[in-house]
Amino acid sequence: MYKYVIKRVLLMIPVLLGISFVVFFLMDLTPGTPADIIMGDLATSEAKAALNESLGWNRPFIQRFLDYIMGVFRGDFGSSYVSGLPVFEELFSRFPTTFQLALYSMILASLIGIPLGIACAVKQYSLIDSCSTIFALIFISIPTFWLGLMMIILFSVQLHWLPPNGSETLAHFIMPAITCAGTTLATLIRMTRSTMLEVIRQDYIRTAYAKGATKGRVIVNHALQNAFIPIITIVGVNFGYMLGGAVITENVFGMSGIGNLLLSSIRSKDIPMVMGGVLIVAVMFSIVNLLLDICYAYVDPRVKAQYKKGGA
Amino acid sequence: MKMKKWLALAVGGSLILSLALAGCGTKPGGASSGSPSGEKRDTLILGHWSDPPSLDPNNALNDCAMRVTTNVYDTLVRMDGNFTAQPCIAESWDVSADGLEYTFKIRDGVKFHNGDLLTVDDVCFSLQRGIDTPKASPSFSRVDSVERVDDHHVKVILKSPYNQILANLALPFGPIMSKAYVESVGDEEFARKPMGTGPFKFVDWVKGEKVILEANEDYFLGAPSIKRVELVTIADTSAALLNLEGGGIDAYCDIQTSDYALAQSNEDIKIVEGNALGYEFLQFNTAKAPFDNVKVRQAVAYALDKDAMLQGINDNIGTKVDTVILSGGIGYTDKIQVYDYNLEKAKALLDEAGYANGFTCDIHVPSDVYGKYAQVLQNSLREIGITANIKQEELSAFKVSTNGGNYDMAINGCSFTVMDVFESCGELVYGPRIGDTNNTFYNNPRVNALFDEALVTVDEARLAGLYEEVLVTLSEEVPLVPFIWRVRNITCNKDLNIPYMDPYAFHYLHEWSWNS
Amino acid sequence: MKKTKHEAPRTDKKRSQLLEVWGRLKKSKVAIAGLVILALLILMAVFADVLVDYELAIAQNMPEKLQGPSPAHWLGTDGFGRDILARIIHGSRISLSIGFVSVIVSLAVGGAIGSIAGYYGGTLDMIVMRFIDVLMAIPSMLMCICVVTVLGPGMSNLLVAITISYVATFCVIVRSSILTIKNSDYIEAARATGVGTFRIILKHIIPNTMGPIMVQATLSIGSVILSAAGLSFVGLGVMPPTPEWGAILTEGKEFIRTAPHIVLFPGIAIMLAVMSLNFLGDGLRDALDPRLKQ
Repeated sequence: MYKYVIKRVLLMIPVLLGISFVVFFLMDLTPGTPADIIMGDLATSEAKAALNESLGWNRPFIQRFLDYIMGVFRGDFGSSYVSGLPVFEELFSRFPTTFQLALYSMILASLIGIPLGIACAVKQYSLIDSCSTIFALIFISIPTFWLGLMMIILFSVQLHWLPPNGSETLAHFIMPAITCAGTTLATLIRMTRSTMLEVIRQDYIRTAYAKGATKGRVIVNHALQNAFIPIITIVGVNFGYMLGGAVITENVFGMSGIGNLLLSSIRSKDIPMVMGGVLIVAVMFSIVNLLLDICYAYVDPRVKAQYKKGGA
Repeated sequence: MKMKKWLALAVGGSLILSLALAGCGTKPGGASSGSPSGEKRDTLILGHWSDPPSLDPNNALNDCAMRVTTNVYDTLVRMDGNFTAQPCIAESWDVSADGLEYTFKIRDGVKFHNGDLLTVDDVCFSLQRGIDTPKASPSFSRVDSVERVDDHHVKVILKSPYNQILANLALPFGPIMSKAYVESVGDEEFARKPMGTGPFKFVDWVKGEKVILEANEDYFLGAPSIKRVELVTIADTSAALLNLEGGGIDAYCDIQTSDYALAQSNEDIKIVEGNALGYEFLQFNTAKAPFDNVKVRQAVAYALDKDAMLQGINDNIGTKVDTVILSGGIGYTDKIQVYDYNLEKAKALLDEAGYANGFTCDIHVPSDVYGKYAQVLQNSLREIGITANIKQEELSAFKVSTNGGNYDMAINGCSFTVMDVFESCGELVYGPRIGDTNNTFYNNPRVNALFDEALVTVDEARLAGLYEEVLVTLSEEVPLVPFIWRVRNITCNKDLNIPYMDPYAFHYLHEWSWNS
Repeated sequence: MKKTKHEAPRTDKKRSQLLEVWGRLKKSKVAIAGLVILALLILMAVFADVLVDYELAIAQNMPEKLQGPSPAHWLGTDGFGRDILARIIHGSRISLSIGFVSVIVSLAVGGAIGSIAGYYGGTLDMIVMRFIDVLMAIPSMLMCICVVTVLGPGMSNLLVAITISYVATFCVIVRSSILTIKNSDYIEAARATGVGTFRIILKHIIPNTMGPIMVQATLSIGSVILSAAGLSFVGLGVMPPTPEWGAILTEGKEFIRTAPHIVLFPGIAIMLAVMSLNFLGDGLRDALDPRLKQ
C-alpha cells in the first residue's frame, strides 16, 4: 500500500511542473510589467524601471521560469509583488476561510443530499422521488452568484438575519455554504439514488429481507455501505475542488479566501502569488484524490485486493 | 459496524479541525461596543474597501494601508484641515534663500511606542530609507539628500526649488521610524508589525479582515479621544451600509452610488465629505487620426454629458469640472473654454473637420466604473454619427495600450498629492514625458516652456500667471476633458465627530471623537 | 450498387435506434419540458429583432433609470434607463451562442484529440493524457480568468477561454468511450476487412460513442452559460453595452437594495436556459441507458 502511495506522490511531480509551466506562461503573456501595477500612477518611470530590474523582469522567460522552479525546490516560493511578504504567509492566512467554507458546504450537501437520495431510491417513482430529481436539476441550474445575491436581498437587506459580507463568525458562512453546496447537493441526490437502486436489487439485499431484517436496518447496514464509494467520491472530489477557493462565491460575499486572493493576484499580475496559489490548490486537490483512493481500499475489500496484487 | 466507527471518526475529526481553524482564524466580531448608555463610547470600527497589502509605510501604495500608517507613525510635519503645514516631529523649520534646503528642528522627548526616545539619527535613517525606496517617491521624488546637522537638526536638500515640499513630506510615505526597531526585526517583520510614534499603537493584523490599533496614551500631542480602533475590510459598499445600519461598524470610507442616496435618507447616519485631489477625465490620442484634429476633439468634448455622468452614474458624488484644478488653486482661471453638453455644436465641429459621416473608434477604460462613463459617452457619440466601441481592460493592459499609443480615446481618473497644475496634469500633457506617462502624446512647445518655468518658480503670483496660460491653452486644444472632480466621503454614525475631511482620505484619527 | 445495399440495413438500424431513444425521451415529462423551454428560448434568440428593436436594448434614457416593472417597461429599467426585457431578449442571442459555439468547438477539438489518443494508445496517448491531466488540475474558472486576462475581455476572447477550459473534459470523455469499444468485435472485423483507421474512427467509433457525448455536450452548454455569466460577474465578460445575461445581472449588483429587479430577471433567464438543458440532458441520459428505467 505504501508503495502505491509513494508512486502516486511521485507521479504528482510532472503534473505540478506542467501546471507551473502553463500558468507561468499565461501570466507572462498578460500585458504590463509588475512595477506598473505595484507602483500605480504616482511613481516615476525611473522608479518603475528600477523596481522591474530588482524583480528580475528583464531576463528571458525560460530563465525566469527555471529560477522560479529551482526556488520552489529549495522551498522558496518568493514574495508577493503587491505586499512584499512571503507568498505562503498570505496563502495560509486565507486558508482557514476557504477550508471552513468547503467543509460547511460539504456537510450541508451531505446532510441533505444523502438522506434525500436514499428516500428517492426506497420510494422510487413516488412524489418525493420526482420532486427531488427536479429540485436537484433546478438547483444546479441556478447561477451561484445570483443565488448569493438573492439570499443577500432576502436575509440581509429585507430580514436583517444574516451578515451579507465577511468571514468572521459562523453566521457569515451560512449563505456562502448554501451557495456552494448546490452542485454537490444535486449530484449527491442523483448519485445516491442510482447506486442505492442498483444495490437494492442485489441478491444479498433480498436475502437480508428474507431473513427478516427491517427495511431501515437493511438500508443502513447493507445498502448504504455499498453506496459509500460513489458518495465519498463526490463529496471528496468537490471538497478538493472547493479547497481551490470558490472564486465567485467569495466574491459575492466579500470573503477573504483563496479564490478571491487568486482572482486579484491574476488581475494584478502578481506572478509569485498566482504561482504559489495555483500550486497549493493543485497539491491539495491531488492529496484529496489520493486520500479518496486510500479510502476506497479500506471500504471496499475488492479494491484493496487490487492494490496488493498490483503491488508497486 | 466498523464502518460506522470510521465514519464517526472522520466526521468528528473534521469538525474538531474546523473548530480549531475557526478559532485561530476568527475573532468574535460585529457587535458595536460601547454604545450602551452611561459608559463612555471610545471604540471606533472603521470600514474600508481593502486589506492593506503591507504595513511598511515606505512600501504601501494603498489607501487602506496608509490609513493605518498615518495613525501609527508621525511625519516631520502634518497638514491641517486648511491644508497648511503644522509642526509634528519637526518643531519648526527654516528654508534657505534659494529654496533648496529645508532645515528641521526635531522635537525633544518624542517616544516610540516601545519606549525608545526618538533621535535625529532615526529621522535621518527614515528619510534616507524613503529616498531609497521606489514606492515612496510621492514623498521623496523632489528630494536629493538628507543631512544630519547636529543632535537637534536635520537638513533636507531638494533637487530643485519646490514650494509644496512640506505637503509631500507630510504624506504617510515619509514617516519617522525607529532605526533600531527596523534593523532588529528586519524589513519583512517590520511590514507586518509597524511601530512608530503616532497617536495609535499597532495591536494586531488579522489578514484579510482587520487591523487593530489602540490609543497611545503618551502621544506628544495629547492622548487621542478614541481608545481602540478596528479598521475592517468590507469591499462591497452595499454590505458596508448594511453593517453601518446594523451597528456592526461605526464608519465607512467612500460609500458609492445608490448606497450613498440610501445613507443620505437615513437619520442615524451622516455623511462627511470633501474634495479629493483627483478627477475623472476623457483623454485623446492626439497623435492618431482622427483625434489629431483639434476640431474632432472639441466635438467629442461637446458630446460629453458631464451631468449625465455625475447624476446618472455617480449619484451626484463628485463635482462637475471644466479644468484640471479647483478654484482657489494656483493658476485657476475662468478664462478657459468651457464645453457644455451640446450635440449640435459637436455635429457642426465634426462637419467642419470633414467627418460629417462620422467614424468608428475605441474607448479604452481600466475598470467597470469607467466603463459606465464610457457607455454614456458612447450613447451620445452614436447620435453624432461616431461609433465608439468600449474596450474594458485590466489596469496593466490598459497602461500598455494607452502608453503604447494603441488607442483612440480613453476614460480614466487620476489622483495626485498637492493642488498644483503640473501635479494634476503635467504627466499627461508635458511633452518631455511622452513615452513615459504622457499618453495623450500632446506636445505643445509653448506649454512645455510654461511648465519648465513653473517647475522652478516659487513666487505664487508668477506661478499663477504661467499656469493660467497653460490652463487656457489646454482648454482650447483639449488633449483631455476633465469631467468629474472626485469627492471623498465618510459615512458614519451621527454621533461620531469628524472635524474635517482629509483630501487624501487617510484620516488622522487623533482628531476624531465621539459626541457624548 | 452493391455498396449501397450493404449500407442500407445499417442506416435503418441506426434510424430505428434513434427512434427508440426518442420514444423513451418522449415519455419523460421533465425532458420534454426542457426541450420545450429550450426551443422557446432559441426561437426568442432567432426572432429577437422581430420581437423588439435592438435599439431599445442599448439606447439610454437616464431620467427613467432604475424603474421597477410597469406597463411601459414590463421588467423595469436598468441603471442607464434601458428596458430590461429588451436586453434579456437580445441577450438570449449572446448567451445561447456562447453556450452552443464554445461547446461545439471544444467538442470538435477535444473529441479529435481524445479519439486519436484513445485509438492509437501508447506513447502518444501517454503524452496527451499527461497534458490533459495538467489542464484538468487547473480549476476551470481560474483557467478562464487567466486566459481572459491574457487576451483581454470581450466576446470572442471569452469564447476562446471557455473553449480551452472545456477541451480537456471532452477529450477525456471521448477517449474513454473509444477505449471501451475499440477492442470490440465489430471494430476488429472492420479492421480485418481492411478499412482505414480514419474511416473506422469516423464511421464506426464516433457514431457509437455519440450517446454519452451528446449527454455531456447538452449538460456542458448549460454550464458554459453559467461560466460566461460568472466571468461577467467578476468583470471579465463581454463589453458593454452588449446585453449578455450575466452582464445585465452584474450591472444591477450595486443596486440590489434600491432596484433588485435588475438582478432578479436576468438571473431567472439564465436559470431557465440552464435548467432546460439540464432537464434535456438528464432525460437523454436515461433514454440512452435503458437499464436505469427498468
